Amino acid sequence: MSAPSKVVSLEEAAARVRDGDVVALQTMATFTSPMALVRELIRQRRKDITLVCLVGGIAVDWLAASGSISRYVGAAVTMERFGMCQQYRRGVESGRIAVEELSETALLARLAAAARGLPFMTTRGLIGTDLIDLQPDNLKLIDDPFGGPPVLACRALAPDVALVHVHAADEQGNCRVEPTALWPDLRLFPKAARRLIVTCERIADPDELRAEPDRTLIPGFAVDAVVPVPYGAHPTSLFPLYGYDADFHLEWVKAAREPDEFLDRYVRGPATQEEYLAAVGREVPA
Amino acid sequence: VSAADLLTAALAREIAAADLSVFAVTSPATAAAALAARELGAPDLARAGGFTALDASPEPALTRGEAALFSAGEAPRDWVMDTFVLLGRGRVGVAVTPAQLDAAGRTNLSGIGPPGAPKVALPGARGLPDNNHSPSRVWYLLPAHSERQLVERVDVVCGAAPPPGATRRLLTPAGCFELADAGWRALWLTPAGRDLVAAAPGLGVALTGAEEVVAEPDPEALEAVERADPHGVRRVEFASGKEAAAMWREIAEMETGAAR
Repeated sequence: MSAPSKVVSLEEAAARVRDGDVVALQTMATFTSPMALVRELIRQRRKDITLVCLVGGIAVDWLAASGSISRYVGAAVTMERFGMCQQYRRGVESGRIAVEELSETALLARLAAAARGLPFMTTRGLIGTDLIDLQPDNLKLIDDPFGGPPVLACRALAPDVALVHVHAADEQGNCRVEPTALWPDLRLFPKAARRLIVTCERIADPDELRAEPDRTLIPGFAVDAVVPVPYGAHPTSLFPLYGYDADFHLEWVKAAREPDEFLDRYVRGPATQEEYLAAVGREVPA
Repeated sequence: VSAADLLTAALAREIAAADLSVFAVTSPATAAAALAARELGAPDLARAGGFTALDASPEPALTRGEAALFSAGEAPRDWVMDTFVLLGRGRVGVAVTPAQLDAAGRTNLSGIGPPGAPKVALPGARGLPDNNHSPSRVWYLLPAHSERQLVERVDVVCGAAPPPGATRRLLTPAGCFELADAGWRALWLTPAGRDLVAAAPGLGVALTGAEEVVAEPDPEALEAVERADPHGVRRVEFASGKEAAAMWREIAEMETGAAR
């Protein structure tokens, strides 16, 4: 007997994210982020989210512009060659978005501690910086019990839910990433978060995944919901299927200071992925 | 000669001479410099993205970023370990561009203004804390020699002063500088270097008058950079605003076309 399907609609998946949740969002600047799910969260007017990202990009800027996030935990927010995320920046400068700024390794240490059920993990990179004093509840300098120099204890961080996008998944949630996970968030989020929602380019036949089990990155038992969304990471990249959409990023950069028209056209307006792709002038990749 | 060409070629020479196993790529100019360094005496130098493959074949288009390190070809040392693991081993180099760098070698990419209450929010610390803390070699590649970026003390320390003995060098349109026990000192200057140093005194560089003046890039290094980056992606890093955006789009189209 096969296990029940975990496939749900985008609307249903987004409804499983609650106001006030700590949400781990896969993103590395212009690289893969579950953008269709992010748009649906905005359409559902989700509020008071604490967002956990390695390096946020356009998704963070859209959520900031929509008033969805009240706190950001991460190492940076940038669209790299397309510049700063202006709406996020405005939120931080105004005090509307609180920031817990970490190094990449300190964030990974916090998530890894949660994944293993430990109270903290240690790192050293932040020692000597101003960032430690800004987060006394989560970062503490401690003595090395084995006699070495001090280390920084980074408190465990277990997100309520993690949102990721992958190349393929079967109906039970077994996920394949091609050719492998580029960034460590995709490996850690499923282990650290209490719930995991996956969007995927396509639903695969379970036999296809079973034939090459070493290519399955996330096991189905760790997944709570699966949503097939072709081109679901646009305008971020999903290598090797598609690169980031440079023109679309530039269009956002131009619109970002007065974003309502852009958000209505591309984010709040389109009710389905098909409508979104039509709005941005893209076709579902073959 | 442009600052982009002069400094990318200089960085290529620096990398080639540094006896590194791995160079961590952070931008197109640094990728071009690392590729060129292989021709300049470091043929076995591996390049790493932040968390991704070491090396890849075929070489990526520089505008495609780190994801292209996987390309459609082989990645002989695929996902062995991340940059920060490699940095801790000491024979790794990385070149970065902080928003502020100070007289003690501290860096800032967090914000302008008091810690925790920025008047201007910047992207965030990212990997700077671990770069700074490591014994590996770090270059700071800045497109301008500006008193806004080169300061006595950074507003927010998000990368600490380096450990004793770690090499930190700074490349700007004024020249090349090294952090020593007594502060930054000039290794060589461009023709405009003396005036630029005087206009940005924050680092506390004391010129002796005996510094070598370098007006032109080393031709061999520049040719290697040209081969590594034939479309000139490195120049985007030395431009800003609309000029940089237009340049990026034009080069990306050329690279995409060339890759087909």
